[in-house]
Parts: sequence; structure tokens; C-alpha cells
Amino acid sequence: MADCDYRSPFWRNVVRWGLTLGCSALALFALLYVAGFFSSETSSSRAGKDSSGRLDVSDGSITDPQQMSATEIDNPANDGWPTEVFNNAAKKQLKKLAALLTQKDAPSAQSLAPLVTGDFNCTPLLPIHRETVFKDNDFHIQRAVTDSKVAAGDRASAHREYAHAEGLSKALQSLLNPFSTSEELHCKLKTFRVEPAENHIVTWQYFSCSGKSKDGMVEQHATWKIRWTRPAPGTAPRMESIEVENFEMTESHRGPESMFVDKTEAVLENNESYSKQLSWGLNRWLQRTQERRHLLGSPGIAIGDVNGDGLEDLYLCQELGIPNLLFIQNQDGTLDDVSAEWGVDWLQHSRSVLLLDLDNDTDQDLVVGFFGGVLIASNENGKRFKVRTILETSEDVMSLSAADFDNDGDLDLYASAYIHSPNEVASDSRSGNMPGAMSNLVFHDANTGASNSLLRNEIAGDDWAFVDATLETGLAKNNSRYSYAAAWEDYDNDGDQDLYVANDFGRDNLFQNTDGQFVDVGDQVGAEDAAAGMGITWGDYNHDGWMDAYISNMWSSAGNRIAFQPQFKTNAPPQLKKRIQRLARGNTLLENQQGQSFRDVSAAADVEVGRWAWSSKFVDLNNDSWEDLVVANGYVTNSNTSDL
Amino acid sequence: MLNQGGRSFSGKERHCIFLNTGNDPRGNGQFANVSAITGLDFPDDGRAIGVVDWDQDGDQDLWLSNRNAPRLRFMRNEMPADKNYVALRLVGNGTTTNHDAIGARIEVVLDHSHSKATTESPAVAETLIQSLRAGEGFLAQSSKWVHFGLGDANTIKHVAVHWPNGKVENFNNLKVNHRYTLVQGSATATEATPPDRTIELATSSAKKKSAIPSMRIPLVALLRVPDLNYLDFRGNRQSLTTVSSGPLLINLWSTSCKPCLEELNDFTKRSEDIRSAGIRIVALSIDGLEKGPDAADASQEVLAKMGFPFDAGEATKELIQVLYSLKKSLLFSAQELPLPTSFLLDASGRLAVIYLGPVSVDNLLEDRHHASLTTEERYERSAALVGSMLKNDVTNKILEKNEAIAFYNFADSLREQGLRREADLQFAEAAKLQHSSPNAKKLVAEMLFKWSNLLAADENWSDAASAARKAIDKSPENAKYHYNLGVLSKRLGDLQTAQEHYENAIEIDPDLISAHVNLAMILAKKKEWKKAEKYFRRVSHARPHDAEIFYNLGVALAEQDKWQEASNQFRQALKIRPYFSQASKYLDRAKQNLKEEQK
Repeated sequence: MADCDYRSPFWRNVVRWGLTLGCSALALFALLYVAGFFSSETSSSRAGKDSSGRLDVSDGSITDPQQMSATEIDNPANDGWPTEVFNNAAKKQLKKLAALLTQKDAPSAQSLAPLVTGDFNCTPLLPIHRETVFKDNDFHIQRAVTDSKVAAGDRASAHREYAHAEGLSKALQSLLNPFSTSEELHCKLKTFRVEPAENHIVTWQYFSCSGKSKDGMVEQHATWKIRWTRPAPGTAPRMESIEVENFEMTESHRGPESMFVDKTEAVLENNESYSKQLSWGLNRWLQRTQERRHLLGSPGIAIGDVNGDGLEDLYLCQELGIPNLLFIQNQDGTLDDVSAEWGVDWLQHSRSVLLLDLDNDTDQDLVVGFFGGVLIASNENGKRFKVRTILETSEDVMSLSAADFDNDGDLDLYASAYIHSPNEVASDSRSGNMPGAMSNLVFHDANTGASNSLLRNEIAGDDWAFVDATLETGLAKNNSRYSYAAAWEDYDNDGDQDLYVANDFGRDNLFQNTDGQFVDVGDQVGAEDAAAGMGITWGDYNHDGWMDAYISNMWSSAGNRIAFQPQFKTNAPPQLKKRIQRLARGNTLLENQQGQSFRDVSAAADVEVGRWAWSSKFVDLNNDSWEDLVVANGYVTNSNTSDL
Repeated sequence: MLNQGGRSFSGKERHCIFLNTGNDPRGNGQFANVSAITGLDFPDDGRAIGVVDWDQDGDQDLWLSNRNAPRLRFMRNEMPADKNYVALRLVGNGTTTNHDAIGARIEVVLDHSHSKATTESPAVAETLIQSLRAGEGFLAQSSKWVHFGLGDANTIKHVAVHWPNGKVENFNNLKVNHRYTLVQGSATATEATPPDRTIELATSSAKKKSAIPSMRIPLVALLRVPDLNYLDFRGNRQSLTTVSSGPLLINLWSTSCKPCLEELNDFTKRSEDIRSAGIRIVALSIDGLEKGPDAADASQEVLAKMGFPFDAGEATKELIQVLYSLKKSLLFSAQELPLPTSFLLDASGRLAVIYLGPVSVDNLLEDRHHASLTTEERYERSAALVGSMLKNDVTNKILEKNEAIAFYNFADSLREQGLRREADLQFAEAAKLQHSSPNAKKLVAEMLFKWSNLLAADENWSDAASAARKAIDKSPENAKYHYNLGVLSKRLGDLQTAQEHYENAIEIDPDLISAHVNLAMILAKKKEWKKAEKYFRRVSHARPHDAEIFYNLGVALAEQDKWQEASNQFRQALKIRPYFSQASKYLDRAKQNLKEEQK
């Protein structure tokens, strides 16, 4: 590739190394660290031996990663992250602990002894002081009362009871007590921060346990701070103490059924496409696909009534070589696959879909965003769709969203796009054109992505014209981010539609609409949320009459572990360091301050940890009038789970 | 190689569901984690979320889509109906407001005075708001029914709709737990008659899937297979691809692989069909690669017993390597070759179909014409499942680009493996691609440029020049290509052509300084001093520390008898490089001339 000719070999290696790992957070952060991303020197700068002796970083001579096996690449010892090495050792111990929790009987002192030191102690793992924070017929939610509200004497005496392996056994017994009738118990510990000190190492982890019984379900979520011995080489670390920093327990007493029940099979099983396609994951089709670009899984969906019978139908986009599917709902709630009949079983690599009345003739037309452009089809008497036009946009089209931005009575379209594919740049055979493949990508503030398009509806009779109005409306500004999604909303309650764009690798946009002209006010109103934006949803979560925004980002335990190390990017200015740490912090809830600005309340609302989040959606799950949040997450699961 | 190599990243993550604890002061504005209790905490690679009251029973159900299996999940909300709701469908007038009323803001104004509390701290807000949006979250559009959970409130004062064009309209007489249609301008909420239906849906069972079946992959890009050799059972090297009167199936097998033996048996049984279709088979055992030369006898014996009527022998390491690069260049997956694997070549040696797993003879017979189909037809056949292809300029561009990428990848991987001759053949093949889309053309051009550089490194100047010329044909607006062709033409002694291409390069990219230098040198050689002066001067601004440039500029000036200016340039050259003997000699000459002029 052309660009490589001008890049130093070292730099190329670093880039490739990042690519090889994909966008895994560890790679991302290690990459930033090793490459000295923010030092003023250019690609030749290397992290050398740290003079303070805290951390050894290899001298920059990186083995050609193409020659390394996957497991070698994952070995943090090679990357010079001793804390990651420690984390792997601690992880093994925590896995043992989690396994003990899900056994029939609470773990005995004997079984716990190999995990703890002789002088181990812990706070009660099921906090003694708890209060109800929410209660209705379905949920009973309790949280630990903060230490400050508990008398000091009470705290101390509680501690003394839980010493040694015996104490831990006792603490776990009471923690598991609410699950005594549970049949299925799932427990997990995930470390998100590691802090080395002189004689020990402290880790923070999320603890979660859930169980199901005849009477109902229980789930617990807590943050544990664990102090470990510094292990001698070749030995496992042991826990010196566990402290519970916060604790929440939710119980429901409505029998063994969960609130939502999976009815997929009953709805879809009469269709061949269910067994032949939908019950298989993308991995199967990736074995044979000849498309190589950005195949991270893009099964977009739209719900709408396409045949006008008052029942909602469903359209599903699929990747290259597997057809898009249209299902029509029957009276009994099941679905019939009519994709071929309706002429919409396209094999093109499709991402997103909208069902809308574009020509105001009262039926639902179809818009499909696919790799290469945007397709517009008209609804022909509720019997089939007819392709009217295919608009060429940026290739890497992601989400679509529609609104009548100019209030002229018809719906206009906005297409988000991710990777910019300049003509000269070929696909890199190693990357499959993953985002990391882009050269000069500044992870915390990337400005080399594809352009999004505003497509103005100019349908007149049989002429289904849409015109690219991006430039003339001011939306071409700040329009080269890696955009995954956008959503329209009148955030300032002035009667027109504003637009929030969620961007990966950096700042989001909030385009304020004034008479059909847009200005990006994201920075100005505190809505830029510079992180790994992947989805956006709006809702008035606090009943104040102003729409609040919730943005899906990436929460990565590895990213958190590394970015919050004291030695992570020691030389970077604090603001930059903060930006990078922000990248892995997770989802964001922006509280609308009466249309003037937004306040980031994510931490206080405890809605950050949505993991590798794609769609997020405000939805009132329990009809109590308060908007809840559903977060769909998970990047790539394969049979080989050597994950971070 | 994420994904391609079958590894996980942030995989098996469980969906997160956060319950809004509302205005209960004890909840402190903090959501509660109810991921497990809601039953939505699947470890799927989730993508889209669509919200809809599918069964119209007054609560929100969910459609979820995934990267992995199952690709869709329908999650029915089975909360007890102890709280109230109202559901609204808006209809715009279709003239000043879009018919779907997307963008409308809806306010439900409540009277709480008759509420019966089911929650310890029920909601008290008088007004609830929702907006009607199309496209939200990620790759998702939810229902256009606007659903309000009302909590314990059982009286609706009125509903105010802010239509997207700014007009506000009030609707009265709505009751909780009903569904209404609100038509713009009617000021009346019409109750939507619930469809007469019963919905009984069984809960999904957790089924385990069987292994992925074998795959037949008809190819879109028809790569030329390089010359390949195998060993016959006597250990003699035989050429695979040189002699071919018809399609050739290269089959890789092993004596220890049961499906391989079954497949070879099938070939044997149906050898007449295969032969009369003109297909040649070469079955190559891989056992020798692992077990050494002794394996040949065992393989030969197995085939003899079977009465296998086609050619056979042993695969070589190089052959496997090339076949693997072929597969890797064509397919997204970087998975290794399974056993059996077969490659079907057409009569002219182009790869047409890859079979991962056993080949069905019927498929093989159908596939023998694959390479002679059009790109579109090949695309349709290459799809994993039945569907239709969009045929249009926009979609064609993407197909062409994919094809170009496959060629690019393969040529490049051959080059990386040091298989120069094979790489050259591949590049030459790529040059023949007839693409109409600019993107695909540019991709092929870049490939040819790369090839040209390789040939140049071999000092094969004329072939390098012809490759560069082809690159320019495909993509005339690239300065780099013109520059290289300039260099090559000069090497070949064709100064006129070199000059033209340097000029083109500069026109496209005025900042390409090396082109200025080289062009100036040619002009100097041609004694076009005035022009040479112009280019040297530009270079001297860009490279103020290059003594030779100032010297050359000096010469160009001196040749025009501009001695004063020339001497300035020689001085500058000497300032940079004090022992620049030519410059000081020329400076002396300049001084001499200036003296004479003064006289």
C-alpha cells in the first residue's frame, strides 16, 4: 500500500500488531503505550526501560507479530505488563472461588484455605446494614447502607467475625443464604482494576450472582476490593482481605419464570429460514464469505405493519450472501417468511432498515442501508416492495434514522457511516479492513472516518428522488468520524428535530437544528461524550419534561485495568490521559438541563458498565412510567474463547 | 485476524438491564441491575433492539438481533398487569406532517388523585413525554406505537400531541389500559379495536446444533492458479496445471480421514460421469508430509484396493502453501484447510470452486461451467443461501471492488512468500480485469504499481515501465505512477517520455519535489536552461540545505549568461558545503565573466 512506503518499519509493526489483535482493548491500550502516542516525538519514540524500575517495557524491538501464534500475542508478559500477568494469576484464583460458590453447599474453610493467607479477614460479604431502595409487587431492591451511616463500633465488631478461611466461609455462607432454594446459581467475578503497592497488590472486581427457584429469582451485584500477597514467581497469589465497597440485591417473588420469556422458536419455527439461517450464527457464513470488509455482524431490524392489517411485521438485514428477511405476523402472533414473494430477499451485505411512509400514501415503504449505499423501495399495495432508487453514499453504511428535518411534511433520511475507504487504499489481507487498519488513527479523537449523509426527500409522483443535503444544511462539519448510529430528537423543545451522532474513537456530535440548518453544539453543551460511541437512545428518564440521552460505548475490564495504572502513559498530559481512560469507561447517561446543556450522570446512576455495548434502548419494562435501559452487548464470540 | 482466526474478543458478554428506581428517595437516582431477573441477560453478541407490544397485551416486548446464533430473539414481556398503560398510534395529515408522524412529541397529562399505590414510592409527575422516532439505538427501528407506562395513575386528563410541524393538538377522553389512534386535526382519540386473537406461544427450548456441514464455495474472483507440482508415488515431480484439456479437481486427502475415503469411493463409482464431463481428478495424499516417504506405499495401496481410476500422488509443502494462500486471499476466514479439501480449476487454469469437506459428484458436474458465467451469475451462485442480487451500478461497484481485492491479496501474498514468478503471472492476470467502477480501477492500478516496483527492483526496466503504463491507464490521476514511469523511461533512455510523465506528475501533485528535480535534470540535459532554471528554483525553496540543487541552479543560470545570479547560487552552495570543488570552480568562472562584462 502506498502509505506504507512512507512509514518507518517500526511504526508499521505497531500498527499491524494492533490489527492482528483487532480492536481488543488490551491491544488498543498497549498500542498507545508502546507507541508513545502522545509524546511530541514521532514514530521513532519508544518506551524504554522505566528509570524508576516500576515497570519494564521491552525496548521497542517488536517481533513480527505475523510470526507469533495467538497465544503468544496474548501473553502479557511479552507486552511488559506485569500487572496483567498478575491479573491472570489472580483470575485463576477468583475462578476457583466462583466455582466454589455455585456448588451445592457453601464453601468450607478447608476448600478456601488455599486461596487466602493465614491472617485473612473480610467485611461481611452480605452487608449487615441494608436498606430497601425500591419495592413494588415485582421487585424488591436492597442496597448496603454506606459506612458513614453505620456506627463505628458496629463496623469493627462485624469485621472481627470474619477472619481466616473460617471467616470467609462464614461470610460466603451468609452471602449465599438468599439463594438457599435456588436451583440454578451463576456467579462471576470480573477484575477491572489492579493497583500494585509495595508489599501487596489490590484489585477491584465486580461480583455478581443470580439464582432461580420455585418462588422467584434473586440477583446480587457488588464491588469487592481484594488485597493480595505479592506472589513469589511460580506461586499463586493469595487473598489477604476482601472489602465490600457496594452491594445491591434484587429479589422477585413471582415464581420461576423470568420477566421476559424467550418465544423465538414458537414465533418463527414454521419457516425454513428459521432452521436454515436464523438458528446459525454469522460464524458459519464467515467460513465461506468472499466479502472481506467490516464483518462484525450487522443484523439490523425494523418493526412496522407492511400489509396494513394492524399487526406489526419484522424485517431483518443480513450480511453478504445470506438473504434479508421479511416476516409478516399472523393472527396468532407467529411469523411467515415472505421475503422472496415481496421481492426483498437481497443477498447484498445489508446493515440497517427502516419501515416508513416516504410518499405519504399511508403505507409503509422500505429503506435498506447496505455496504455501498442506501436502497429505497415503495410499498405496492401491501403485496410487495418495488426498488425505486439506490443511492450511493459512503460505502460503510451503518445505522439509518429518519425525520422531517426541514418540516416540509415528508421524511428525510440520515445514514451513518463508519470506515472511509479512499480509493487508493486496498484491503489489508490481515485486517479484513477492521477499524484499526486505518493508518494514523488517533484512538481517542479519530477524524478519518467515513462521511454520513443527510438525504432529503424530494419524491414527486413516480420520481422517487432523494438529494444529498449534507453540505447545504451544515452537516458536513465534523463529519469524518467513525459513526455507528444517530438518533433524532428535539432536545431543546423548540419544535424541530436535532440530531445526535454516536461516533467510535472520539467525540460525538449533537447537531442543533435551526430552520433546517445544523450546528454541532456537542462540545458547547457538554454532550460530546468522547468515547467509543456505538448507539444512542433518548428518553425522559427523570420525568422533568426534557429528553435525556443514553449512549452505548465500550466498557472493557482490560482497558480499565491498564488505563488506570499509575504508570500508564506517565508522560501524557493529564487531560489526554483522562480522555484515554474515558474510552473504556462505558456507557453514558446525559441528563438534559432544560435544553441548555447536558450533565453526565452516568456514575451516579450506575449505568456505565454495559460492556461492549451496541444497541441501548430506553424502554419502560415494567409499566411504572419510568424509562428503564436495555443494553445489547458482546463483540465477537467464537469457539476459541481465549479472551481478555 | 480477529474473527477470521476464530478467536473471541469481549465475547460471551451478558446483556445489561438497568431498572429505573424512579423517584424513590432511597434509590438516589441510581438504576438497579436486573439483568438476570428480567431473563434478558443472554451471552449473545447482541446488536439491534426493537421494542414493540407484539401481542398487544399492554406491555413492551422485545426483538433482539445477534451476530451469533440465534440471530433473532423474541422476548415476550410476562409481567403481571398490575400497572397501567396507554398506547397511541399517531396519524399525520400527510401534507404538512408526514403520515407516520415521526418526530411528534406526545405528552400524557395525568391525574394521580385516584391512584392506588402498588409501588412504595409511585411516580407523581403530572406530565409524561415520549417522542416518535424512526431509527434509534444501533441498526434498529422500534414500533411506531407510542407506549406509555402509567404506573399507578389511572386517570388521563388529556394527551397533547406536538405534531412535527410545531402545532399542538389536545386529545381528551382517553382511558388507561387502552390503545388509541390519534388522527391529526380530528381532536378525537379513536379506540383501536384489539384484534380478535389468542396468542399462545411456547417457550423456546435450548437446542444444540450439529457441526457445520461441508461447504461448496463457487468463487466470484477467478484467480489464476500458479504452476503446481506434486509427487507421483514413485517420488517423481509431476506438473499439475500445465497440461489441461478440461476442468481439473485437485483433491487433498489422507488415509486416516474417513470422509476422504468415502469421497474417493464416490469418485470411483461415478468415474464415467466425471470423465464424460471432461473433468480430470488428481487425488493428493498429505500423509507424506507428516509421515515421510514411507507413506506413499500405504496411500497407493488404499487407492489400488478401491480401483481409483484417476491420477493420484502426494502433495508437497509448496503446493499446500499456495492452495492455502489462494483460499485465504479469496475467503474472509483464515481457517486452515480441512480434510478433505478440493479445488476445481477451469480448463484455462483459473480457480472456480473451493470445496471444504467432501465434494458431491452432482455438484462437481454442475460446477464445471462456473468459470464461464458472468460476474453477477457467479456472485449469485457464491451466496451461501438462496436469495436475489440487486443489479445496479451502485451495487456493481462493490462487487467489482471485491474482485479486485481478491486479486490484490493473492498477488501480494505470493510476493510475500517470495514466489516471484507466480506473483508476476497473477499481476498480469489482474491487469486484464475490466472494471468500470473507479474504486475497482484504482485498486487494480495500485496493484500494477506495486508490480512495476517489483520488476524495477529486478532491473527489468521495460516490463516495469509497461506495468506502470497500465497502472496509469487504470488511474491517470495518480502522481506517483507518472513519477515512476518517468524514472523508468529515463532508464530506458526515452527522455521525451520521461519528461512528459514528470510534467504530468507535477501537474497532479505540485508538491512532488523529486519530480521537479528529475525533470530539471532532463531539461538541463536537453539544454533547455530557462525551463530547467524554473524547476531547480522551486526545488531550492523546498530543499534549502541541498548544495547540489543550488549548484545546478547556478549552472542553469550561467548557461543563460545570468552570471550575477549564478554566482549567488554557487555561493549558497558553498555556504552549505564549503569544499564543493565544482561549485567553487564555477564561481571563479562566474567572477571572471562578470569582470569581463564590467570591462
